[in-house]
Amino acid sequence: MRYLALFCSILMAPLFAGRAEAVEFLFSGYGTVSYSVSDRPYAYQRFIDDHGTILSDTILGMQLDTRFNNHFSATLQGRVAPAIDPEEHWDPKISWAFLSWKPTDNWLLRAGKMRVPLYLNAENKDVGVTFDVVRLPGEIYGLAPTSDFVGASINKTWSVNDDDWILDAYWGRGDTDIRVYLRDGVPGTLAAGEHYSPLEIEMRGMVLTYHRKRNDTYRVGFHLATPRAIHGNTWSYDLALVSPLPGVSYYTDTAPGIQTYDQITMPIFSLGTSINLFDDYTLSAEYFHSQVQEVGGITHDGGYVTLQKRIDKWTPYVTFAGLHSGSRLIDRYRMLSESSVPNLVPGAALINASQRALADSAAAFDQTSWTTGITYAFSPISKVKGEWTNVRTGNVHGFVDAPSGGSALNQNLNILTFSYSFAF
Amino acid sequence: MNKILITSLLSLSFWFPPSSSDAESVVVIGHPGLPKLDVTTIQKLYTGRSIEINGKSVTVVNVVPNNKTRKIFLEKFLAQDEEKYLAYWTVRRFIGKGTPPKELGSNEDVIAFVQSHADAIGYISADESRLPAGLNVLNEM
Repeated sequence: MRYLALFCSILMAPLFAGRAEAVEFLFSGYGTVSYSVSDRPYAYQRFIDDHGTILSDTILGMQLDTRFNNHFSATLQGRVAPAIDPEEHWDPKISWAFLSWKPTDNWLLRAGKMRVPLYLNAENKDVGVTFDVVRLPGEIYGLAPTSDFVGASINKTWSVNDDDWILDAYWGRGDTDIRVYLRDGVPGTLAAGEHYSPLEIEMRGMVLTYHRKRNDTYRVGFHLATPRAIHGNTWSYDLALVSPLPGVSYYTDTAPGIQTYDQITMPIFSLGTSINLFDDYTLSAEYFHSQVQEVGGITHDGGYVTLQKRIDKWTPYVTFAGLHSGSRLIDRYRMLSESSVPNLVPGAALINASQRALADSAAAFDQTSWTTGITYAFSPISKVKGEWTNVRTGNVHGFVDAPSGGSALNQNLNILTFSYSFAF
Repeated sequence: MNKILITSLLSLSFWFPPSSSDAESVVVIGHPGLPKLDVTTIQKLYTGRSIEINGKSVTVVNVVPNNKTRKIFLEKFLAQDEEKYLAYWTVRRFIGKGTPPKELGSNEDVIAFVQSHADAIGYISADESRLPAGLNVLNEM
């Protein structure tokens, strides 16, 4: 909030300095109203199940751009979307609040609250009219450690003929909540359902983009995320095998000698491209790799390929996406899920529930998806879209909230979504 | 019969007016002291990729959407139509890379703005041959 107050005072400074006539205020806004329904009773990406929901993609945002002169400007963007906190229905949030200084054509410096430039559509991911798919693939866009940071960025452009090479470097801090969905909970300790752990994250990175005049984009990024758990939470990746009785054993992550971390380091590598092919075909693809530096085998690899074709006002498209975690995460999930002790062991119910809760708390993914959809553009700022997605889960639940007492491994989910996006 | 048909087609084509894009030219104007500009530079200025000429800051202005002069300017200088230009600036605005040029109501407003701002660049219809003294023609198509 203190950032917002500082930002507003800077924004209004020219008014009080008597130079208001030179300042331009430009209001704009965007929104998406959507409805999604799946053929499964359990939730996918938190909201989508067979009851249907408007919450998965619905969003409303406003933006104020203040142009002091050609070189200085300020941008403030607020948005309302479904809340992460289950006790709140809607979450109003300042998503951007930054000052820009463009001293020359080739330099752009920004400071304040900004988007982490992890993906092709990281900055505009909330603005549905700026892309033709209904939902940007969760196999990539669901992996960001945090979407926003407060800090600074430097952008240098080299123009070669009509093409641009752009280097972005940024550094800052953000915060977020890790969501964990427990199928069954742990009696007397943790309730079944959603749980959130707050994190503070330091983000830094560099992105090199090659932008051709005919609107082809190629980008490569190296990022370093340093999440730090707060409120006494820690990460642990090792498991100990405990044998309370001969021939009976179970896993735990709280035994002596197991290393815990209140901060980890995650190098992230990202690739992306959007290429205009022949006959109004466009190919977009992105790849994302992250790992935990302190521990081997804790990795995530995600990617997608989208082919779309513009036919007058219509844009049909097809997307294939995949997301897989490293073997250590998958194995951990499998060991914990498959392990149980017989009821004759004292505290068996608690032990078994704890193992399942540990399995559910692993941020592990193993899924692929096919999506086909179509967009109709009334204008560049008014689009109606529809798509069908088939998700196949593998050896872990990933984005699925597994049902109580069961699992959602090796499942097929079909999701239908309709949306209307606008901007003004 | 064929002669009648050909005669009718000729008379029809005679009466069809040429499209506005073919018939009219647009003049890019600037304050005295600003140099002649090539099309690439004008494209960069009107897409926000450039804010200066020879190290000197400049301010470009547009006419409001659906204005005939603007339509011809977008076609001839930017090789875009109104929808593509709107789409471009919608994305650029919502990735935080700036806002579109200031928009003025008419050719007369553009002339007045360029006359009164030393760093200003605009465009008007070439039909406005009564270009006031004190303005520089930077390009014409």
